[in-house]
Amino acid sequence: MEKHLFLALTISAAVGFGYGLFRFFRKKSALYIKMIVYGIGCAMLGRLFETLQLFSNGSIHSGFHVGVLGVVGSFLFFYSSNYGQMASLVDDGSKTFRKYRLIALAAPAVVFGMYIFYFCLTGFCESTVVCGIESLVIAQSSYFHLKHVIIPDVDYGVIRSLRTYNLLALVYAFLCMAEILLTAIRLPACTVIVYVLMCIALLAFVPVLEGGVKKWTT
Amino acid sequence: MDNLSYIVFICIIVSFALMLPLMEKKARGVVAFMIVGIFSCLFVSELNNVLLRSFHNDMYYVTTTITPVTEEIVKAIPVLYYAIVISDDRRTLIGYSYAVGVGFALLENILILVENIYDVSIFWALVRGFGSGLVHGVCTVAVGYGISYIKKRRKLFWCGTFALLSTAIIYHATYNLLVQSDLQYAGILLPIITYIPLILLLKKSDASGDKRETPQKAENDPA
Repeated sequence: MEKHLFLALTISAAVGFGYGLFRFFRKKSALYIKMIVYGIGCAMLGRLFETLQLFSNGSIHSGFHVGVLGVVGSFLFFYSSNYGQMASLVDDGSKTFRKYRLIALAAPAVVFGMYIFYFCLTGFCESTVVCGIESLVIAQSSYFHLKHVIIPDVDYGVIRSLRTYNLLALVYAFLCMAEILLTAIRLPACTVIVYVLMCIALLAFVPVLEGGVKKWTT
Repeated sequence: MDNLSYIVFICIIVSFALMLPLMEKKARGVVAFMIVGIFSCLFVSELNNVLLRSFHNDMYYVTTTITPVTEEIVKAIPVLYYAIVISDDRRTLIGYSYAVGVGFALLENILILVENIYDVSIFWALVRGFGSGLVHGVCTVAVGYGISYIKKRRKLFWCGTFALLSTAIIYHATYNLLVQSDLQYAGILLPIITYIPLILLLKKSDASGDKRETPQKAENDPA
């Protein structure tokens, strides 16, 4: 069952990445969009590694393995795209947006809450260190996703058109945390649901982004 | 023969180093980066031996998890240094990154060859040449190509670099995993499948670059 779930995740990420390449790399597109596509590509590579390890070995190494870098890399791409490209456009650091900056902290708080719960279940071991690093990257990315969902669009109308994408990315971040948590709590039905939702999110990223870009450019 | 790596290294490096003063600037840069790649391989081979011992000689775990990390980081250092300190010109970075990868693969292949001299064949040479040669080249090019984008934007630099390295590491580890599994042929095909679109992408970006340059040249041309 686990093999099939990972295979489905890999295929979903590959389809999402392939569609992203097809839509956004034929013509000149914003670096913001390209970075998100790279992020999906990174997730695909990580999942591919895990799937291949499952098929060839029968199990995935419980501590550090290269597949972890897929999740870390993809969220770093998402974070870099928001922090490096969008943050300064929508938030000038003034007091007007302070409220939104504070509310946005709720997302990393939820991520860290889930991690602490995981830590309490497993205790200190190699996996908790690896998952801690994963959580840190997911948390910093989720902060910007939530902020860009709630922040009012004052000047350009760009961030408004990307709200659905940011919401989807936020949900995906929580799903990745749920995946970590479910390695400690054995709930097979929940695991299937989380993986199916992750597949849907990976497939939906580029079409949702495409819709946003259409609104932004027209 | 304890110092076999060093013997091979000296044999190759001296010939390459002596060639440097005779070459014109751009070609000299490529050969210099090949030398850097060869040196990186020597350093990594020592490091990997230490790591292999510390992981109780678990060859499978080390080659699929640890060596991709060390190799990609060490290969990326000269490329990053060049991009940060000297130039972030995309075309130059791609050429130099590939040279680092090829230099690395060259010494690695020779070291494996001399260690397994009685087990090698033409097929082995083709597999190593197309597989390992391309994997090292493609991974370093991915870092070099990406760094030319993110270097220009300070906010993207650290996270972007780490994300690029992650991508290269996973790609390399996937290749190592595949060639040690039943899907060996898929492992050999993986770098070839990646290399062809990469070449097409570069040719396309070269062509669009030429198109953009042509009207500018016409404007600047006093005739």
